[in-house]
This record gives sequence, C-alpha cells and structure tokens, in this order.
Amino acid sequence: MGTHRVQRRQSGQELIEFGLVLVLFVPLLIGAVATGMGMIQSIQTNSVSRDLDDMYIHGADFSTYAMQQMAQRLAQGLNLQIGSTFTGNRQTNTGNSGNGIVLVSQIMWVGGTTSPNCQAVGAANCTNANSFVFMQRIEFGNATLKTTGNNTLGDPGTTAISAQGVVFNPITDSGAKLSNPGQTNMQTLWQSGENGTTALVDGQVVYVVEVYFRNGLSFGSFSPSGTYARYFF
Amino acid sequence: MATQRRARNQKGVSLFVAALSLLFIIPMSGLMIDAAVLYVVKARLQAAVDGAALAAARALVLGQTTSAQASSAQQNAINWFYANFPPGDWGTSGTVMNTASVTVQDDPNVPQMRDVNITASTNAPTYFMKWFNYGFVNVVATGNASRRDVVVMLVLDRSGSMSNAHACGTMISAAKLFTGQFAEGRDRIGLVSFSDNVYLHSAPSTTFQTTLGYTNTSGSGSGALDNISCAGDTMTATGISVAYNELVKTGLPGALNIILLETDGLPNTLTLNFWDSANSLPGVTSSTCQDQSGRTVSSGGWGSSSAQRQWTNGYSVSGTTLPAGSTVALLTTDPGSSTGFFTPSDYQSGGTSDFATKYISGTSTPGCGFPSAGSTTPRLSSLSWFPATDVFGNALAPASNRFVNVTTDSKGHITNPSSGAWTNFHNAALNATDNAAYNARASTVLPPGILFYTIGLGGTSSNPPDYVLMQRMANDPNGDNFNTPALYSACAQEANCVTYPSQPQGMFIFSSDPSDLSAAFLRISSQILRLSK
Repeated sequence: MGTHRVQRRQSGQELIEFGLVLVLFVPLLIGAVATGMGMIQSIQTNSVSRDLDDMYIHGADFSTYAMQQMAQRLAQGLNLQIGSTFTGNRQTNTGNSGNGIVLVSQIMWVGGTTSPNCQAVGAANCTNANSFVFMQRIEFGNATLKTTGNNTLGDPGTTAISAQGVVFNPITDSGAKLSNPGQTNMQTLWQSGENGTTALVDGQVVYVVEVYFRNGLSFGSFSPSGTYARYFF
Repeated sequence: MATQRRARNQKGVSLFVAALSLLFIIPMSGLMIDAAVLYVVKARLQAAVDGAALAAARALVLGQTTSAQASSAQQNAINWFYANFPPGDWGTSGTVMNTASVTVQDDPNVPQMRDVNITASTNAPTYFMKWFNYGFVNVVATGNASRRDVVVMLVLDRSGSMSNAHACGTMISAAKLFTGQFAEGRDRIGLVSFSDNVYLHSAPSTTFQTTLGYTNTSGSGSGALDNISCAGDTMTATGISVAYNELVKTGLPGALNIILLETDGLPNTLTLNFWDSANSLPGVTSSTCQDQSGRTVSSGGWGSSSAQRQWTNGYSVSGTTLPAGSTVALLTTDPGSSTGFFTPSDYQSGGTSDFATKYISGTSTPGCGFPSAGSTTPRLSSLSWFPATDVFGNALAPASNRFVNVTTDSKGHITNPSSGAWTNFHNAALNATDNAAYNARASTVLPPGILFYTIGLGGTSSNPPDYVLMQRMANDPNGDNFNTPALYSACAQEANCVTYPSQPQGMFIFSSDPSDLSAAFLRISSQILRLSK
C-alpha cells in the first residue's frame, strides 16, 4: 500500500527531471552544434578564399566556366551555385540561388602624376593618380547575397570592362577608381604605414578574392547568418 | 518501507548526474571550441604568410641591386602579411612578423631562381583552456615562394611607318618604361630592331637599364633604344629568329624566356636562300647576274652550290651561320599585289654588332644590275621559285595550321606564278613570321618554350598588324581586353586563329594609336611579373 503511494508521488518525477536536464542540455547542444558548424564553415570559407586567390595570382582565369566550376568544387558543401553554362568569358555569371558569392578583383595603386603609369598616359590624362584602381573584376555566385559588408572594394563604376573582367583604361577612366568606402579602406590598409608597413609604389598590384557563404543550416540567434573571408595576394 | 527510502534516495538523481556530467561536458565543449579557434587562426596565419611570400617574390623587381631587391621583398612581405592578418585578428596577440622573418636566397637546386622563405608566429587566444592555465597557444606558420629570373628579348619595329604620328619616339619611351619594371642586376633584357634589316643592339644583359637607356629616373637616360631611327620595311620573321637565337645563346632554361614583339604593320620581308640543297636546284634561273665564276644563267652559270654567289659572306647571325648560297632579303610592298623588288643583302657585322645590310648595286656585283637601296625595280622574273623556308628554317608554307594559303610546287617551293604576282610571296612572309613565333614557343632547347608577347600598333600604317596573326603568334586564346569597344574576338571565334594549349600562353595587345603604346607595354610587363613567380 505504502509502495503504491510512493509510486504515485513519484509518477512524472523522471519527466520533470528530464525536462530540467533538457533546459540545461538543449541550449548547450544547440550552441555547441551551431558554434561547431560555424567554425567549420569559417574554416571552409577561409580555405576557399585562400585557394582561389592562390589560383588567381598564378594565372587562373575565373571568367571562364571551367574555372568557375573549379571554384564550385573547392566550395563543396557550401552550396556555391554559379550561373548558367557558357563558352568563352563572362565578367559576371551570377544568379539568385545557392549560398555563396565570389568576387575576384585585381587592384593596382597608381602613383602621382610623375609615376610611370601616369607618364604612360600623360600626366594631364592621369585621372586616377594617387588612387587604387580596378584592373580586373569578376563575379559569380548568388548576386542577392552581395552586400557592402562582403563587397568591401565596391563595384567598378566603369562599363569599359571586357568579358574577361579586364578594365580597359584603368589609369584614365575615372570609373575604374575604387569608390568610397572601398578607396578609403584600401588606402588606410595599404598606404598609411601602420604596423611597420610601407606604402605601395606605383604599379603594385594586389590580387583580392572575397567570398561570402550564407549558413545553409540556421540556428537563429545561435549562429551568424553567414561567413566571409577576404585575402590579398 | 525500504522501497520508500530507496525512492526518496533516488529523488533528483537525474539532476545530480546531469550536473555532474556538465563538469566534463562543458570543458570538453570548450576544448573543442578552443581547438577550432586554433585551427582558424592557424589557417589564417598560414594564408597570410603565403600571400606575403608571393608578394615578396613579386617585389624582387624593386631595386637597382640584389640587396635592395631583397629589402623590397622583405618590406612587401610585411605589407601583405598585415593586410591579411592585422594585429588582434581573431583575438591574437604577440604576432611576430618583421624583416628578420623573411629570408631571400638563391635557390640551391634550381638556377635562375630566387626563393623567399617566411616564418611568422602569433599567440592564439584560449577561452576555456585558460582555466587550466593555458592562456594562449603559440601558432607558427612558414611559407615560401620563388621567382624565376626573366630573360626578355625586345623585338621592335623600326620600319618607315613607325615614323608616322611620332610613333618611333613613343615606342622608345614605352620600351624604356617596360625595362624599368624588371630587376636590374638579376633579370636580363636584350634588344633587336628590324626594318628591311635586323639590328642586334644588345644581347640579354643584366645591366639592361643602363645599356638600353632607362635610369629609373623617369626614363630620361640614354642608351641603345635611343639609337633606333625608323625607316624601311618589315622583316619581322628575321627579327624574331635573331632574338630567339640570342635567348638560346644566353642559355638560361631555368629562367622565364620571353620575346616581346612590337610592330605596326604586316611582315613583308624575308631572308631567303635561293639554292635548294635538298634537290640541288638553283632558284636564280633567268637572271643576267653573274655567278661566282662570272657566268650568267644563259651561259650555264648558277648550276651548282659552289657557283652560287656568296652574298652572305658566311656571316654568323647570332651564333647561327647562315647557309652558304644566294641569300637575299626579299621584300614586297603591302598588301602584296603591287610592285615589289628584291635586294641582295651582304650581311656583314662591320664595326658594330648590327646585323647590317650592304646593298649591292649594279656596279659592285658583276652583271646583276640589282637595284640600289630604295629602288623598286621588279626582279621577280629572275627567280623560278621561293624556298620552302627562310634561312632560319621558318616555313613559308607550314604543313599544318598555316595562317594563309600559298601555292607550292612538287618540291615544296613556294611558286612564283608570274612576274609581279607578289601576293603569294607576301602570304608566305606572313606564314614565315607566324612560324618563327611557333618555332620559338616550341623550343626544346629552352623548355617549356619561349613565352611570346605581341603588341600591335595602329594609326600609323595603311596596313596595320593582323589581329589573328598577332593572336596566333602570342598563342593568346583571349579576345581584346584593351580597347573599347573590343576590336577582335577570342581566338576560337576568329577564322584561321589557332592556339596551342601545350605551348606557353602569351598575350596580344593592340594599341589603337601611339598614345596607348606605353600602357600596352606596362600591361605586358605586369603580366610577365605575375608569371615570373
């Protein structure tokens, strides 16, 4: 009889304890999974950016479908979807599906009016003296993901750009100049002499790859909306 | 009763066990997070070091001495490193990256190669392990990159049309700017110019900025480039072959061997030998010219190798002795359908290193009556054919993928259909020029072949360079990336355009007028420096 009473009092106790344990463990579990996945994606994103930049500086032409497919394979698991199949070259091959966007840029520092690059076009025509200019710009992936946060250089203002993304007149075309805040950011980063660095000289080229991947599996406020990486080679 | 006690004892056990397990689970989770952060920091540090190494290798061109270049490399490594890995990145501290972290040395195993080695370190933060007295973990990354020395032969057009629109002077200034982009004392640059003659101004030299006239002070220096004056025709194939010979003589297969051709017109002149040694046939069949023994064709002359007039005097062109025989420079006016003439050339070194031509006038060569320089008297009727190759072995009618069609006879000679029909020869000159570039790119002496860059110049000649020919010579599959609107399409979309994936891929740029010439040269130098690492 006493046993029955005890059993009655205890009925549901495990459930309550289980509930209390869940209150502790579920957030911990979600947090651990979200953090872990975020870390993995961050590592992948950094790896993709680094590898693409390494390929880029060694001559890879990302305006071709074959090289964009190569990038897609490097970003396996991150759901980078490039645009449609094409032959030849395309400066942009974007769509609105997939979780990734890739921005490949070649920027150059143009010195003052007496610099070789300005001399080459004549000092009076050197519109972009003392500025960073786009030499090349290629985009592929999901264009809807592009924001000012993951497109830190901004877009070239010029339409004088080839199918390979090469800017035709980087010294004289004002649209080739990086617009603000990209111009200011790059000058702060490269020309200000912080951390023992020295300013770039005329004609020095920086190869930049920016990648952004939206999180494929979202845990709400437990995880960031996506990961971004940028490398200068 | 015992059951009740047991039940009371078990009350809250799950919570107790859960709380106890947290003592293990939380540190383990923390350890995983710390490990992941370490991994991210390591990856970012490694990428920053890799970028710094590549930038340092590129910066080895900055400076007039090898020590100054090494200093530039060290400084640029720091620049690139901190651009990618700013202080405090991912909570790091104590980052060590300075000039002492960067070493520059000659590669011990590969000649003409310089290596940059970088070691950087940082302290990665710990968020959970610090509870166990591990406040940070030191992470180290090493990276290296190499830069091949560059050997460039500039092949510049000094034909008469280059004197239009001040193109000659502009070309000289642009070429000076080009030389300023390379590492004096380490890279080598030489110079050949051509018109209806070829001038070897300088073999590839490490003192090229002094030799050619660039002083790193806005190109105000004076040198061999300043000796170019523009007049005459366009002996492009011979210029390419002489340049290639200079690269072979320099003999640095570990280096990046390059020919950069600039021209404003169509090739129209070849250096040919009119004795067919394979078939023992003379090409001079109806000339009133006397052979080596003083006999004309009608009196039985010109029938043997020894009878051929030795116009070449056995002159050694850049180490390659021209074959004995009736070697002449044959040229035609563009586009090949109007009056032409041939000029026997006496290649003598004279007092300079120039590949000098001495025109033979009627008074100096018995019976020939060849025109003196500047004459346009046709002499086509003296020849029964044009040889299958020029004296450098460049095919006038390549067996495959020839640029334009030419007619040949059963012995492979280029036929000379009738007096005045110069189109066949003109086409043969285009083919030979294309083939000269092909032969350089396919070089087995300097593997993996010569990188070929071409700059075409418009606005000076009524017969400007052919886009497709220039694309083929550069082995450039890409369309126009320099002019807007684009002037030509990708090679695959152009008729008669062929590229060879197995050969080095260069670049063709068409400068629409002389004002763009410097930018074209700089675009090419930028591309070469990108490849030289």
